[in-house]
Amino acid sequence: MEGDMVYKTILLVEDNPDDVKLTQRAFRKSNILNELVVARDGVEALEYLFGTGQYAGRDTRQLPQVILLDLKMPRMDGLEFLQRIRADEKMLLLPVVVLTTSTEDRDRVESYKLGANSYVKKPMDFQQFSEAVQELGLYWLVLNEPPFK
Amino acid sequence: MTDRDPRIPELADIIDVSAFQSLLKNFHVLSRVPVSILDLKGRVLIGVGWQDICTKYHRVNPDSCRNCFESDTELSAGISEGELRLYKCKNNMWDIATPIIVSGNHIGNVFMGQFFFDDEPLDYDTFRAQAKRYGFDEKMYIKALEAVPRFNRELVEQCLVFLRDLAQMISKLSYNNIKLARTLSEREALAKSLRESESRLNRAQEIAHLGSWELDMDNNTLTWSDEVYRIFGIEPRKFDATYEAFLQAVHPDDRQAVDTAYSSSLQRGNDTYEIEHRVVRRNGEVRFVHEKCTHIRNESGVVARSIGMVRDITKQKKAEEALIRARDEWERTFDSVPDMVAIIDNNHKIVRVNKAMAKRMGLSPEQCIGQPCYKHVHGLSSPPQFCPHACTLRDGRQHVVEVREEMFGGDLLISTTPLYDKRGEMIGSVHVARDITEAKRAEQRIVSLNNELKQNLWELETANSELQAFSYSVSHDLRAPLRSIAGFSQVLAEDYMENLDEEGKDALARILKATSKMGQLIDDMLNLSRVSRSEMQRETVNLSVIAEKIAAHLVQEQPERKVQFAISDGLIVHGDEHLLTVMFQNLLANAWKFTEKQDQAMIEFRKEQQDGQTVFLVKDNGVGFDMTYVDKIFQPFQRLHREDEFSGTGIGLATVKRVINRHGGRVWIEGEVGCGATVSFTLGN
Repeated sequence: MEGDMVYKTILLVEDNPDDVKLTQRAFRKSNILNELVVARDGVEALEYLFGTGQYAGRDTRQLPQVILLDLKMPRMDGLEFLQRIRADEKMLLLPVVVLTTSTEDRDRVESYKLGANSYVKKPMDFQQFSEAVQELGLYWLVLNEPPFK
Repeated sequence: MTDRDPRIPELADIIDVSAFQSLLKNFHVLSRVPVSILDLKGRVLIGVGWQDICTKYHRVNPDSCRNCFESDTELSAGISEGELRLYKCKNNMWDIATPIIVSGNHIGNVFMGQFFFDDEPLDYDTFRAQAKRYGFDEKMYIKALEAVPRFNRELVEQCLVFLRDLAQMISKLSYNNIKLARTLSEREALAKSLRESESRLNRAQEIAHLGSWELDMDNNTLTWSDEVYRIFGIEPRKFDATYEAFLQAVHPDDRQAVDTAYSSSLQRGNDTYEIEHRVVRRNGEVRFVHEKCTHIRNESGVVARSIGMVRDITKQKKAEEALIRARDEWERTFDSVPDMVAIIDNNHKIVRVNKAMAKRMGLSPEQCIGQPCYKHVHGLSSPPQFCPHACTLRDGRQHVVEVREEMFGGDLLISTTPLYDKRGEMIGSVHVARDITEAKRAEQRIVSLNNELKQNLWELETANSELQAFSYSVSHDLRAPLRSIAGFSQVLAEDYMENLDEEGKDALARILKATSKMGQLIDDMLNLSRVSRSEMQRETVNLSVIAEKIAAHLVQEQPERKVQFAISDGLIVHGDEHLLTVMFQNLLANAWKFTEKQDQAMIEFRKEQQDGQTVFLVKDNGVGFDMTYVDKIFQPFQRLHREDEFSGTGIGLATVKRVINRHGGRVWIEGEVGCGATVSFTLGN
């Protein structure tokens, strides 16, 4: 994986700093070296993707390899964010993995309807959580062929 | 005579023609005087000694014969009784006539004629002229003329007396005969009419069911008319008709009264008495009769005979009884109606009320009659605005109103229905008032309870949706910090374990265990709330298949355990497959858990019929429980075992109960410490 490979960024949209920290640790423990950009809600995530607000001037051609998206967030929740980016042609095919504590069926169904590529429940057990994150990283960063390079 | 008595017969009918013929023939032999008897129509009944001049000439030529006929009738008319009339007939012969008069009616004549007196010469010229006129052979005609006998006047006079007497005798004899015949026929007619009137009387008695009787005191003989026999059901003449025998036919219960009525009327000297009683016919049939009796006294004032009438009044009596029964029935019905009923006439006056109405009016039913209804019902001096009776009088229709009348006890539902007489004219209305005060109150109570219920339901719905929102937020808000605690504890355990002493390691281990337990609790709670909220989707569900799958899963999880499952095949129900699966997960997991200390663990699922209902049972031979705490067992978070005995959150059976409730079924549990537990449930219909 190292060497000539350019590590693309991972966008983590998560308002809970504990979860951010645990996610970062899980990636680290799994030797996933991609840059992890954290947005604390949907609004911030949109600013990152469209190069506005605090991300004004960012090269928006650089899209993340995958977006890990929490659903329940202040200001703009995950489902609304999903709806916004799927409305943009450039981001129509951007892989989005919903990562949530919700066990509600309707959240899952709604997420898929709005174009999520995967839906992963955050396991309660940290061990399981780490394993889940690791598998996610492997799949989306290594095995999956992204729609654009 | 024009106004001849029609009862006087023809002359031919009252004289014995042949006897007179013989008598007059002998007279002719003696006197040689021709005699004849003719009726007023000119018919010759008897004729003797008739001369050729008449028989061969005058009565042969139609024209001369008309002369004879006219002479016989016209010239002899108007002669009074006993008078003799001498005249020349229209053919110029002598004739003497005397009338036969019966009971003042001239019915014929006795004639003597066809002769000449010996002291007069023959008038040849006249007769020759007649011969020429009528075309007679003159020579022969004159010869016949000359053959006509010639009598001296004395003889003729003698004969005339005889004839006059003869005529008078005929008259008298005939009259007597007629009188006799008339008397006889009158008597005959009288007897006939007597017979007829007797049979008419009999028929009349039969039709009227009215019989008559007569008791002769001297002989003690009782005479009954045919109808009396019929009424008493006895064949006529087969009855020893005495007063005592009559009493035997009277109904035993009435016998005394009948006897007393008769004898006391005699004792008191009453001339008449009447009584109604029953008679029993031979065939046992009972008839009702009305008797009326009159006593007849002889010259010395002693009752010699009693005559009486018996009228069969069974039909009237029965009709009367039926009428009374119908009236009683109607009155009882009328009075037993709990509604207040009044019949009110066209002037708002009460015609009749039932007991309920009278009671409410505070009067007796009789006192109510004639009272104005508005005065007693509403305390007014004229009918109120809403009066339905007035409306019915106006338009002839039924009217129904609901009124509140405090003086009449509250809320009333009043209907007035038009009442018509036989001719179809409205004579008032039937006014029915029903006290609906209680019903009104109940109705109001229902309305207010309903409102309360609506309010409660709304509150319940609100609470329920709040609960749903709460459950949802619990899933997020409780899980996140829990995950942090668990996560960072894990970080400590993984990366900093060597920095902790034994007590620290123990504390960390406890934190990890507690968070795991709390995670399980939260999951179970969310499950329970989902079971309550999710939409029911009923379909055909095979419970046996669900139970087998879950059992297989449990065996797979802990293959080291030896548990025998006995699951009946084909237990098919109608229900929500997802909910029933969740329920079986809980039921079988419980049974699995509580049999873990059993060497020969046994878990059974089957159904049986109890009181005509299908009951499903999940039975285990595990540790069981104390029935004292059975009430708590289905409540969430209630546990009957310590955590160090059996782990669990206490939500399993609460979830089972929710699922069963949502299917409209019932669930209960039985158990005994050390002897296992049986969960039974039904699934409604």
